[in-house]
Amino acid sequence: MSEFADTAFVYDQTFDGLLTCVFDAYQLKTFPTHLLAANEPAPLFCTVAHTVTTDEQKSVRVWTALEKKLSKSALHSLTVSWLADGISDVDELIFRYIRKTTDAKTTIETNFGDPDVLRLAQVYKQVSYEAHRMLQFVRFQKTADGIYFAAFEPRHNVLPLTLDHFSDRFSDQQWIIYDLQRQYGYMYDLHDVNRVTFANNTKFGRDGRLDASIMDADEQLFQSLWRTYYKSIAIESRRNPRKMRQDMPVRYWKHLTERQ
Amino acid sequence: MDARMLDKLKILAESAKYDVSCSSSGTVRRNNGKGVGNTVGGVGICHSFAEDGRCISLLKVMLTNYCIFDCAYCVNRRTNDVPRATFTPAEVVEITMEFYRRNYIEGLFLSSGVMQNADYTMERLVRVVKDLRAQRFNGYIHLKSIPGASQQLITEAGLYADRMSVNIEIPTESNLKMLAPEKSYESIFQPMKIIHKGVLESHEERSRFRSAPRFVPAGQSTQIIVGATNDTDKDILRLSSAFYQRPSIRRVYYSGYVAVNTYDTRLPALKQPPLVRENRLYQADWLMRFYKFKVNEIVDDANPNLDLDVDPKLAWALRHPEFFPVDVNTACYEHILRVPGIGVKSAMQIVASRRYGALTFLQLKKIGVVLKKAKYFINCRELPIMGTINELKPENVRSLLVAKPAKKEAVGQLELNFDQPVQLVTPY
Repeated sequence: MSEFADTAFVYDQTFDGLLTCVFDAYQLKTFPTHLLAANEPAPLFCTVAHTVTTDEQKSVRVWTALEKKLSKSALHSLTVSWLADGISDVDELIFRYIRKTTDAKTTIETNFGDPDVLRLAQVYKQVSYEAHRMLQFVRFQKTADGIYFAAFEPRHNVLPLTLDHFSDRFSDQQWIIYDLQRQYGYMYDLHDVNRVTFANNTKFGRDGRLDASIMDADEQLFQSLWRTYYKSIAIESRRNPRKMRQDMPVRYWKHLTERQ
Repeated sequence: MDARMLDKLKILAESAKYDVSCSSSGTVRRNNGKGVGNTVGGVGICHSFAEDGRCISLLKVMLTNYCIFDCAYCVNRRTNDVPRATFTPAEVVEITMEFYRRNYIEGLFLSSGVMQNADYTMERLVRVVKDLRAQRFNGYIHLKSIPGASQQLITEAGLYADRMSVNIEIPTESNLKMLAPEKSYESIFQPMKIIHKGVLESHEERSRFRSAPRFVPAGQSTQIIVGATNDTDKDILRLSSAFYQRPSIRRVYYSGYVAVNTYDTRLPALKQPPLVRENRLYQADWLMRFYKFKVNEIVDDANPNLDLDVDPKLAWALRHPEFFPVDVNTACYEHILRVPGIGVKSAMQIVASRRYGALTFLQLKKIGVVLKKAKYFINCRELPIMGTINELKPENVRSLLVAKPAKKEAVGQLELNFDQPVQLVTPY
């Protein structure tokens, strides 16, 4: 196959699948310019060269090879960037990064003059910042049976990145954090964190607010105490709503007790 | 806990809000399944942002806003007619715990007006933090130390708090005497010294025995009010610089004076707090802490005040054209750090990346260098876009970089006169 033609691999859009793509590419000596999902139409002048069957053995071999070449933090940035949503072609970016790593004699991870290394660092920053925003802006509401419930709509699929933090911090209370957009969440039952989904729920609305009937008796009081505090702490002569919106963008307000 | 708490919380939060310290950083304490809370990674988390744009990380309240002192700059001075309230220690503990469990806050910042005497007040503050820790609260606690409190109480508080602070407020002692006759530098420095000594001793003890108790692990901070007196930026920054020589002092905060007691003629009648000056002071503070600047390089007798139009780093660069241009591909990290428009992160990325090949303007721009500023001060693999600072002369660079006031009317905006028929001209 000519080096100049655009080629594509089709894979199942999983991380293991992506690593299998890398394996197959080296095996076939064909390096795709595009990675497609099964039902995705190929771009113009692009031929589908290969359909990848995800194979855990292959993906583990690729990952083990990467572990020898990359630092822990660089590996972490690959898995975190994978969670990006709405950034097109993250998989192709990760593919190119792995390929450059494999082909280079020494690690490329600090070469920010390389567009792919820089871009991956930027995507990593975006995704991990969104995870940090969750740590900042998740607001629990206490239910009558003592479970703390929070709803959130992160821009990237970052809920799994926050679980260690929340289960360490709130280790003596039961909690649920629910991603309303992706329709799944995690529940901590004082021992383990388990994935949960609520089909046909009536306990909380589309805005993630608990129904008053299942709220803890004091919940409303503490919410209004928090709102009172939020209003009182601002200094009127230093009003700066622009700065406030910069640090706490409007898209989070829906689930922030103090902005409701 | 009932609805009357709303009023109390309102009063005591409003009394505490002029203290600008907000950070919840400097300690790592994992929970490990014991109780509630942790402090993460040495950096704090801001949980919300108030209408004034300042972050809300800690529940910042006073135990009481009754005070026996009459400091001119303080909203809680005893001669002020403001609503007063007092929390019981149990109330503070409950609100803190409940807020924390809902992920509203990172911990507690507790301060107090002085009731009866310093020790009486300090004892009550210590009771709150002790009770919180007894309830296995592992979150962040910032405790204000009361000037004049006994060594024993401060030492006890230090075992429970993550950070302690004593506010110096006024940068020269003569002005402090004028505005707060009941205070002296001695009464402020004394608790600072006790905390400092405790931190050093605990550090040494822990190097011998890992299980030795931690004492104020996040160190201490202080606050200086800006614009309430005629002190220059040189006075303020020299004081900060002296503080930063001491390893236990982590932060100096600058609080633009908000005219709370307008009737007091000893104070200037400011319409707006000096926000730009405050911002420049923070920038200068950052230069001292992260950019390896000495205080004398930022302000000196010839320039006792910071330039409000340009940031202090650019101001330094304009005063020292002989230092530039810096070649980003060969210069050492410290020199690259001195270039206006290159921050700590960019400088580190430049030093890491240039081993793979010389960097160009485009690559610098993508890394995050503010080329608009930096282009007059650097060399890279390409020819300079415009002249260097040496060719253009500092004063011209300055006028190129000073932000021009926004024009009210948009210049060059076409006016459409709808009475006249618009004539369309086709180009072909």
